Amino acid sequence: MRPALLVIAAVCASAQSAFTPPRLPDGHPDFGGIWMAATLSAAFNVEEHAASYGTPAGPSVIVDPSGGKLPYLPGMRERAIDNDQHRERDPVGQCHMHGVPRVMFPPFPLEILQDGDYVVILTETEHGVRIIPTDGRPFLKDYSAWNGDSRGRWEGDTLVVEVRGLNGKGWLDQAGNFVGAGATVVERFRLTTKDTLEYEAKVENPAVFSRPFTVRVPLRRRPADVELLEYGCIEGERDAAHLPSPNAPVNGGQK
Amino acid sequence: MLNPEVLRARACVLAWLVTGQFCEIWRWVVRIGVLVLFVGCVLPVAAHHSFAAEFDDKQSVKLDGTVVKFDFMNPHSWIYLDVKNPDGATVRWSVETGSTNALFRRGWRKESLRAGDHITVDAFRAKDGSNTANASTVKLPDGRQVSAASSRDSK
Repeated sequence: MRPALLVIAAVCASAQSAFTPPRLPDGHPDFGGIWMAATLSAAFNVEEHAASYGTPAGPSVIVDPSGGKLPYLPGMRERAIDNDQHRERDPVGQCHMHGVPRVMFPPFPLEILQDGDYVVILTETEHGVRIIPTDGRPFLKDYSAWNGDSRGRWEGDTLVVEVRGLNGKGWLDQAGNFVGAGATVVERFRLTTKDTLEYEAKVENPAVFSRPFTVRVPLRRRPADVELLEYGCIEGERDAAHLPSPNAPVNGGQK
Repeated sequence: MLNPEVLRARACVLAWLVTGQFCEIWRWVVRIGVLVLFVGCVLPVAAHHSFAAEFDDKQSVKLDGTVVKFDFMNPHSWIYLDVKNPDGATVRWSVETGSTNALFRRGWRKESLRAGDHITVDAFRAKDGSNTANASTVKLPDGRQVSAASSRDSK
């Protein structure tokens, strides 16, 4: 048995060493492929939630603060609860873009492409395109959009993306949690296995939250036969006429 | 978090010690996992909007009728169905399913439903009381009962 035990020790030691990601010719890790959140828990609610009809129970994806709760300023959680009771206001339900960070964990796949000066994230839902320059260029001036303006840089094998210019209308999930005007996000992407891309987003939004918070959602590589498909959101959108407030303005957390 | 590579290595060594075959246990773990995926059809699907925004989980309805039209599109496909009421009157229902993309990945195609097909749909009514519903399963003319990949189909 002694040789077998030696083999066990050797295998365990080698298996526990740091994961070495596949690399592109430029030396950076290769994130290319089709990805999707490992679970849909964050899409439903970034906080811990019990099961309700159409929504399975799930844990919080908030890793900071440690309690797993969004650090809303006084009065802001009431707005989120009000959103939750009026989900027809969800911008995504009206075919608008998800906004960052929600765009990274929708219930549809996304594709990552890299070419050295850019990382591009194509999201199936709403045909989202995030073009993330990694060549050090400055942010756009006075820009405002659902997914904002992203600038990336590499810290070792981690892609760090700063996002500014968010329009402040985005929700964080289907449960009505939201970000408001002036939100900025710092995202971190890192391969932890060849099929797992760990995604973290640190959100700062002093108008809504008392302190920054961070969500962490593992993305799972989809099988090789999965391709992004067209998602013309307007064509089949026939729900609005049946919603409780069909003309509810899309204004994120604002009532 | 457990590293799959570590688990794999340990399973292989364990298999070698127990069976003499290096990775037999791991192969069975993978086989059983794949089987569970197919049998349970657990690939999660959810719509772009919340089920609760429009539909009432307290109002289930079984619609047995004839397909008038099937619009295979995003963000939801729609089945238009003529259903005969007990009093003999025919009522047209609009039944929402998941997106074309979710349905396509589950094997649905544009021609999966044709005008004149007789189908049975398990669904939930819209809160506004109209003849609108969100489908959970559809029983096809050939008897197969298939998921509608709808906004509630996320369990």
